[in-house]
Amino acid sequence: MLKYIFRRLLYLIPVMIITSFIAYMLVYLSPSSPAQIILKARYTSEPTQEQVEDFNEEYGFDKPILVQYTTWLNKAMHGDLGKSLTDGSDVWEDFIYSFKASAKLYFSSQILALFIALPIGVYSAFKANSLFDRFSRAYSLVGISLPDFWLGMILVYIFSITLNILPSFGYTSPKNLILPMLALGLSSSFSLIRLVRTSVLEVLHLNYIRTARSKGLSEGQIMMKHALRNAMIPIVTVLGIHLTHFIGGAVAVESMFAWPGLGNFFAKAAGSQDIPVIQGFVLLSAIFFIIANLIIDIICKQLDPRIDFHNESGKNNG
Amino acid sequence: MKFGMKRLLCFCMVALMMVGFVGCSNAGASSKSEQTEMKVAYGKDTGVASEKGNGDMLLTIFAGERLVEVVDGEVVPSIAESWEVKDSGKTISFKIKEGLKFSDGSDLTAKEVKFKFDRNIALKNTSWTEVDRIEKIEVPDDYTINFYYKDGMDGYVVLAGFAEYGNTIVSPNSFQTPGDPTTPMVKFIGSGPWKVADYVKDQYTTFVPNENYAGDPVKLEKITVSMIKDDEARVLALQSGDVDAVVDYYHGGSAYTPRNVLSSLKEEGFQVLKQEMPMTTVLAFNYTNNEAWKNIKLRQALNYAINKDEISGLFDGWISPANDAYFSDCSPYTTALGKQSYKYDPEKAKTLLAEAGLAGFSPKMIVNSENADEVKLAELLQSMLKESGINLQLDVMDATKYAEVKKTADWDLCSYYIGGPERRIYSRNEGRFDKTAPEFGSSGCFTSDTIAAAVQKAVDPFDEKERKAGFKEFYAAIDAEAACVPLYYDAVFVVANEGVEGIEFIGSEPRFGQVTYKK
Repeated sequence: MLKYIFRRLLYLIPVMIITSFIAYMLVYLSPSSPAQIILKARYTSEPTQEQVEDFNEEYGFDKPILVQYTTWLNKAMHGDLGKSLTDGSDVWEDFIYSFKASAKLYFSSQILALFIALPIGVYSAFKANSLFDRFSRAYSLVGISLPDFWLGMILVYIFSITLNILPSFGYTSPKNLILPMLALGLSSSFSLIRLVRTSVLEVLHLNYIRTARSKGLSEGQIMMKHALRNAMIPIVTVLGIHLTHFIGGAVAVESMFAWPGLGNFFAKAAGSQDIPVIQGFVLLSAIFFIIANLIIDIICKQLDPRIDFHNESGKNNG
Repeated sequence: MKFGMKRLLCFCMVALMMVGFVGCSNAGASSKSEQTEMKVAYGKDTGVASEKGNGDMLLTIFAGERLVEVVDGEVVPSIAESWEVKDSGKTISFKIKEGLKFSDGSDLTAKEVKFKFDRNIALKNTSWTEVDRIEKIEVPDDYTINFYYKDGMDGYVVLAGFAEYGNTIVSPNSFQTPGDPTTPMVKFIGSGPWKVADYVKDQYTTFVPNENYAGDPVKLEKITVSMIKDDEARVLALQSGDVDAVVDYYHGGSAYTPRNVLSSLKEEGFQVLKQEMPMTTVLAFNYTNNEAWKNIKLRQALNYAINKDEISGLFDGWISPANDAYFSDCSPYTTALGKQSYKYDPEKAKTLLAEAGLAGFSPKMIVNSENADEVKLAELLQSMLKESGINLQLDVMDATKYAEVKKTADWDLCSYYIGGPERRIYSRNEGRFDKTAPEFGSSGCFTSDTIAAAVQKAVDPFDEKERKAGFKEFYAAIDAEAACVPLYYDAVFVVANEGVEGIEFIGSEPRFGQVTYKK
């Protein structure tokens, strides 16, 4: 296991280099120039050619792309991700600030999604084709069709405007978390319900469950001890995929609730072609994704010891 | 059954109690109490901390002052009590008011004013004061500052440029290294009616009264300006009572309350305050890159082909169609000085196109997808122009691509604006129509030697009568050459709770100094 973890961590180096290089190239190939956009915002007027040239010289954008990239990479390797071109703030500090905000939103919403999806999905699987099952399937189908930001607007309308019990935006108090968490959590739960139901249903037809039943175990024991543990593997994997909500995927909800998460952080940087911020975001996101996926793999291994990390090609798996 | 009856009785009691509570709460609502704080939603960050910028317009108005201001088209005193243009226009000298202080209690003298312009020169932030042409700045005494221009200053447009947002005077203590103008601005210490008490980037700015302000003290004890980027979310925050007012971006044209919700907000009991600005959204032609637009018949055909009243309908009637002069009647130099010759006439447009040999003309319009109203406008124009036989092709793209494509030959039409906030009316018109202005080229408005000469007559003279005559000539020149198609007059809106009183517009900028709030 340790060898596997070490090997996966080693992947970080090429992945970081490749992703950051691709990001650099994408920004470079983009038709717009950072100087034009940033200077326009800075001076609230169209910049002159001289201002653009000075800007490019000051930030090294007049140099060949490879020189720019290697200079940036060298600094990044030494822990210096640079400063934002728009407001001069430290990229690392801004990322960490937004990361914390995203973490609060992501983990609370995913826990909520699990709390909703697990009991409904499991019960639906146990009572397949019952009225409850049909209702839950219809509920999740309707829910999947709702965009998360639209759900957010409905929640604001109910809890902030009509009932006036929750704030409609902000980040200053714990109450501010509730509505964006509900919007993202409910949105994730709709797809999770279907996934939990399908996973549990699949497991319930396997031989070892039949054996457990024939041994006279109660349905509760079968579920908790045997079925759910195995059904959790695809669920955990999907929760890993939902990490995109963490890294920028929740931009609409964040924008709707003025939540200072990574989605807003990246959207602002991308809109203003703030290269150091974009690069820092891509690099740190790549590291985060690799580590997060590694943790998910380890959890899956704990859930199912048959998973063989040394045999990733799938040979001899039957 | 007995149990069921009990439950029914309990339910009825609870329901009655709730009705009672509602009744009580309604009774309480009629007595309003005086508030000392107010919360405002705004679509932009105020930019208190900035590496090389000067802060957002709202910040510079709330917490800052400039040497002069522009009110009703005239340059008026502010930090400077008077000014004099000397040496045949080569020198402009300002006399600074005595006894002024920044919000941190430090003195505001000519030395501090010079510091701000040293920063703008060092950062090449021209801000329409032609700082690139400034030879030197001298401070002969504590209350005099002289700007010497290499080849002479342009005229009134340069004087008005001292009222630009970027020329807001801030204390040398605002910078990372106090006294070093090239270091980042880490806090905003100005001399305006408010001072910044707290700031969290991209979230909120708290303003409290500046006890060192030389003018009338503000009435509220605190205003918190929250940044809510999403237009709809700002409206929801107002409806929920989380904010007391929603303010459009001070520049106009972006980050504004959606116009199609203003009527329903008014019906809900909110105040909708509107201030038209000398800024007109126009349909601009890519004549610098595309020969076809040099044909006046084509430009005239476009002017006849567009029904501006229909465009106003897009905004639920809250925005006025640009049917009369080139700007709305909000500014003395823009009222009744010139009328457009073109009234909606699709048949005439067809005839002109045929005469130009362009029947079946199929121009390409670039559209910024991030502005929903711009997209709706483009779609409306597409259907409207069909009546005149013009097959408009829309190319909708994101803001960054839009900015770049605009510099190429790969488009024919775009919606843009002429004019701007009132303090910018001179510089903006010069920038749009005078090819030698640094800003020229961004709008796409057609210009010619006649228009360029006329715009100079409008923005340069110090004498008001001469300036007015110049504006009349300028408008006539735009009209004669059909330089663009004026579509609608832009406006700044403030939507506020019923109990908010005293919001006043100076120029196109809402001010909150004398606001009182009963809730």
